[in-house]
Amino acid sequence: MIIGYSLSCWIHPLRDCWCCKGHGVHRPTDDNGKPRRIARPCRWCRQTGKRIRIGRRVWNHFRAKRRAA
Amino acid sequence: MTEPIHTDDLEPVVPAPRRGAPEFFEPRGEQLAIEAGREDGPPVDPPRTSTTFADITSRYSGDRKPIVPASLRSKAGRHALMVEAVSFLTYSLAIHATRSPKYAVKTAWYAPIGMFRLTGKGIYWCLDLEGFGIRQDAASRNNVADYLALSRQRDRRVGARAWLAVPVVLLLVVLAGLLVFVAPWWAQALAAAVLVPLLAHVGRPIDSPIVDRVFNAERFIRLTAGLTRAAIMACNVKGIKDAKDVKFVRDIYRAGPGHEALVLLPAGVLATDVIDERDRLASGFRLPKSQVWPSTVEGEHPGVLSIWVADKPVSSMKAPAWPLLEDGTFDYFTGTFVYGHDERMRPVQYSLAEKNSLFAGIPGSGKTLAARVVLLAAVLDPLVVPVVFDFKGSGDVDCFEPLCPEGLYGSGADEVTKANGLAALEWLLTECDERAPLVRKYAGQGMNTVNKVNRRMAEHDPKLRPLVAFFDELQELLTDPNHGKRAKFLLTSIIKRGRALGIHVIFATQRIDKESVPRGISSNIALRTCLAVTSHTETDLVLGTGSYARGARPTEFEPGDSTGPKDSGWGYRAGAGPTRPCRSSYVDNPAAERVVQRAIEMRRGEQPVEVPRIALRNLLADVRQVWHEGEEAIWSELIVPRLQQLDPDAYGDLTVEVFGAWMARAGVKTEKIGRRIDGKATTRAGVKLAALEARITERNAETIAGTDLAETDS
Repeated sequence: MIIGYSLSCWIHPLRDCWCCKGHGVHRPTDDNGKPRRIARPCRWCRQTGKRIRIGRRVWNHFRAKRRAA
Repeated sequence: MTEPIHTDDLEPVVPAPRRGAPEFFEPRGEQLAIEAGREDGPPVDPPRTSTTFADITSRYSGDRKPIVPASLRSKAGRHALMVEAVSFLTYSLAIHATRSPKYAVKTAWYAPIGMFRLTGKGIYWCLDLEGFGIRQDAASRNNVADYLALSRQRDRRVGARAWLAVPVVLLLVVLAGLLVFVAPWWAQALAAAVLVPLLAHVGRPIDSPIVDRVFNAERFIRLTAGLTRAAIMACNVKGIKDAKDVKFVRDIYRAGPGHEALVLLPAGVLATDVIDERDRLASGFRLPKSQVWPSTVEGEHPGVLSIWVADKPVSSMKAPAWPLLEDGTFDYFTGTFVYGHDERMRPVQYSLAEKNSLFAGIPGSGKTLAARVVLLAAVLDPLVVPVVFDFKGSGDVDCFEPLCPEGLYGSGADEVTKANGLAALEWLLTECDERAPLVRKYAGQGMNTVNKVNRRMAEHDPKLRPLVAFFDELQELLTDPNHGKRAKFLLTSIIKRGRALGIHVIFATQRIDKESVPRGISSNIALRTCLAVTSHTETDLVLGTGSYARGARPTEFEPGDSTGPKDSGWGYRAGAGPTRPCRSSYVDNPAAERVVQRAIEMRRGEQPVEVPRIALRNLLADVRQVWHEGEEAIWSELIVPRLQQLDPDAYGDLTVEVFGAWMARAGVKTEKIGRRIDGKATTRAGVKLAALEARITERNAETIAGTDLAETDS
């Protein structure tokens, strides 16, 4: 399972942003549940809507550390 | 084309011309404010000149390249070219035919690999997998934006490539099906003959060609400006910081079996700075050192460098045979002969008249064989009389013995050979004494316009035949404790005086210092060849002060040894044009003997010069040797029998009259000496002991003074 997860992190290193759900922006809704016209950019994914997966992030961290050594 | 200067750009020179006088104009910015009464001298810049039609046409007046190559202009050339081409093709076909089974096996092995490789490459291209690495890099940097941008680019590419790839794959499948199931056998065979080798070529490892190489030719690179600049930059010469600073005097051109680049180095950088780094230069060209020949350019400023790059290492080039090996003669007075060749295989000429030769180099550098080439050429003039002494005793010059007059040949490292060599030097100096008045006399009779021996004189009078004296390993004689000082004195005198009197002396020495090659000798020798040596000191001592600084690098030659000749025979030669490297022609012992045999046939067995043996002995020392204790004076008729007893060969034919003449020449005149015999007074010619000893002492002092003077001159 670990190998499979690592392989998937290598081939698909991104996932949808948990905060904006992959939209890149936050669009608040009014009282009726309709999205408002003014949208706020997502500060977690910087408007890309994608974030690096945890597994890939851990892999990058250890690789950078090894290279620095 | 130069821009025309309009009259608007010109201003009249102050003061303005007078009315009616022609106006002179000068461009703006080129004027000088001239104060009244002040003289500033002439302008620094040269006057501007306009280009004329003659200037343009003269640019193209040089040598023109022939339209049809030389090999195609003659019938013989065309025939030779055709024969060469057919021979090459036949040989190549035979080689490949014999190896065809091996080729078939290799093709069968590599063709499937090639098919998989080709398919993989197609998939790789179609799916844009070359961008996989860079996308992963963006992910590794946690750069989501870059990764997304690259992914979008990949999607676009794959979409576009799929439109091309899918139809092509379908077409190939259809074609393959048609070829297998429908096509006739010959079409299948043709397709297989084309496709299978192609697939095998794709599938083979990069370092394993399917077809064997027929010729293993030497490595050849095309000399380009970029490569030359890179090689010069690789030298790490201080002052060359940018490759663009290295300019070229002219286009790189073909020169002999190689290419030459004339390089203009940046201001302040000398050509010798690069020459010193020849190893790095060769490394920059990725070539063996013997293929890269940097040198200074005669007549140019010191910043111009010539780099000649040979097509293959010079040591592996076939040296041209010595032209005088089989036939040909030489004229000592006016002729030149081919001594060897330079690095571009161009013949190097050598002349002997009014010169002397010096060959210096460490053991194995090839100086004896180089000097022997000169001597071999010299004896091909039937008038030349060789004098040969080899103080090494190796036998390299034994072939000349039949040509040398009796007493003027010696080979050995023993005391007898040294004594004979010294006696030969004494005789050469005596020859100088005797030749000078003869030359003056014949020149007065109109045989020559200057007081020098020429061919007419030598043919008229056998006493003026040219003498070519070769002393190998001369340092053995010059450093001898008994004969050294006298030998130096004699050599210095002979070199200075014998040149114009038809005496050419060739020295070869392996010890190069002030003791072995005194300045008094080396500085008076015109033709100096420095073969392989160890340092710049020897280079300057042999070739002249400053030669090393001017680019002569005999230090880079490697002497031959048991593993091969290496750079044996290579040396820098000074005294005939610019100091350049050259290699002596190689003449082995059997070939040298054949040349000497021809020389003997030219002389028809006659010995041109008969050297009296008495001339080869030290007469004064011999007389003193036969002098008995208590004798104050002796008659000549009593001395002569004693001398005949001392050396019957030398003094066997000596008479009292000849003895008197030789003693007078040696500086002791015979006097009338009275004796009472049987009570009767008798007076006869004889020698007094006081006069003899005084002359011997005086001569020794002259020798020492002469040697000291020669050393002081240096």
